[in-house]
Amino acid sequence: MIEVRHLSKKIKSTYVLKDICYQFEEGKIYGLFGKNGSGKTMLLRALAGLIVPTEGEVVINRKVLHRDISFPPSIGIIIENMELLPQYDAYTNLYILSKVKKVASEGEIRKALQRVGLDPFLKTKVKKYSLGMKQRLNIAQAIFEKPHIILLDEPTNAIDDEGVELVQQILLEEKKRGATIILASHIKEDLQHLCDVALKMSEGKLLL
Amino acid sequence: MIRHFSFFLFVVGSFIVQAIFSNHFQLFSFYGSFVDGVPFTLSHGLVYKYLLIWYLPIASISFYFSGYLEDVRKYAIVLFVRSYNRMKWMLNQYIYAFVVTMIFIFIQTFIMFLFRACSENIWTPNGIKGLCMYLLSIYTLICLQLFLELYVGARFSHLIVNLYVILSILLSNELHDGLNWLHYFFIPDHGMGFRNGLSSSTAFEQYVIHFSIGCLVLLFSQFLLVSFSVRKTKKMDWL
Ligand SMILES: Nc1ncnc2c1ncn2[C@@H]1O[C@H](COP(=O)(O)OP(=O)(O)OP(=O)(O)O)[C@@H](O)[C@H]1O
Ligand SMILES: [Mg+2]
Repeated sequence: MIEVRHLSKKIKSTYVLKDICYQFEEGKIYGLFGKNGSGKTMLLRALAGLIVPTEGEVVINRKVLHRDISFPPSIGIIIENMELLPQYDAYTNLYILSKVKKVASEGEIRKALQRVGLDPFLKTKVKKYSLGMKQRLNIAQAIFEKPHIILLDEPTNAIDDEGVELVQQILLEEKKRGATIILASHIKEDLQHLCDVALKMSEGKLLL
Repeated sequence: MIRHFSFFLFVVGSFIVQAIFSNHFQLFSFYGSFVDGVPFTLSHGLVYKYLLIWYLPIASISFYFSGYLEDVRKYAIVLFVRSYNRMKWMLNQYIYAFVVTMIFIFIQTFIMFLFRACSENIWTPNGIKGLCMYLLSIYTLICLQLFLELYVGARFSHLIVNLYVILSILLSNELHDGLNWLHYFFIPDHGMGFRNGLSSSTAFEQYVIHFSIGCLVLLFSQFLLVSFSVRKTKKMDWL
């Protein structure tokens, strides 16, 4: 469970998150919607421990982020400004990452690539991937270790209709497994019907 | 993460140009123009000639590292959410920078040797010391650049470090006889044989800070820069 308590974040004298309070429960899909610049990505960063709150705190399974733990213990994420190693192929990328936590086997890596519709044995380097292929790989990166929390910022960006269906299927499977899934998107159509709870953000505030 | 290969070739190219220049100018050198650096001298013309030869590879190495942290932090995000220790990550970047700098100096020495732009003296114990001081001073400059990148961004950091190098070399030459304490802050000077007492020459003026003290100053600065950077990563926003 993720508990957000009076979370605010100030960057260069402007508040980009304002007094956010919410509880995210396990086995549910949450959708964050709102205009460009409303703070969706920023909230996901705060949940992932990538930014330090100016006020308030994020509590994950009763452990306070940045005090008891520096990052959520089990999390998969797609976020802005994130990149895999362009000089390797998809499998090698995930393989290198799997060495950090050592929870995913080689079979699970190939399975994850298959689930997002990539050829698990494709030897093409990531720098030669198309935008949509990169995004599919990012999704595989976020789910291949079966994390408890999955944060996806604009997951269907650049993905074709066929791919969107795969993503929807994956989200439902991950939900069934018991993961807390939080999506952020500025377009509602693709994923809103999957969400158990749709949250709206505006000017750094969560509208309930 | 590896930088593009063309960056690497650019640096190697600058070593070759340095070697050609230093043969062409026929300036007096004891070990080789890269280890000797710029002498303390009253002749401004001479200072600029030495400076031109010496500075070229420094500019290109600093260019090689410019923006390095900004590039690798994109990948760092996927490591961090897997609970990869941030401080260890930052430390690794500095260790990587040291290894790369060392390889560059190695290649530079080799190229100078190949072009006969360094003398036999470099293989004496003092020559090796001179080479080490050269390496340490360049690495300190790179540390400074990486550190500043965390605060002011890659472009400014690159600019500040390069201005600092040029200005400190010129300024310390002007201040040769006064304000001795200020000379501790001139990092490039500690890596120059002519300015740290390792290259013997009667033609130029004496060193101000002896290399044994310079070495400590460099190591201490490196320690400060690295530990501040590592500590900053704890409270940093990874946007
Ligand atoms: N790197 C940054 N530095 C400073 N301010 C930023 C930075 N990134 C975002 N902001 C500010 O934070 C606020 C929220 O941005 P955020 O990226 O969270 O919006 P968003 O809801 O994800 O928008 P989008 O739909 O475009 O992705 C914006 O006002 C933006 O100006
Ligand atoms: Mg966003």
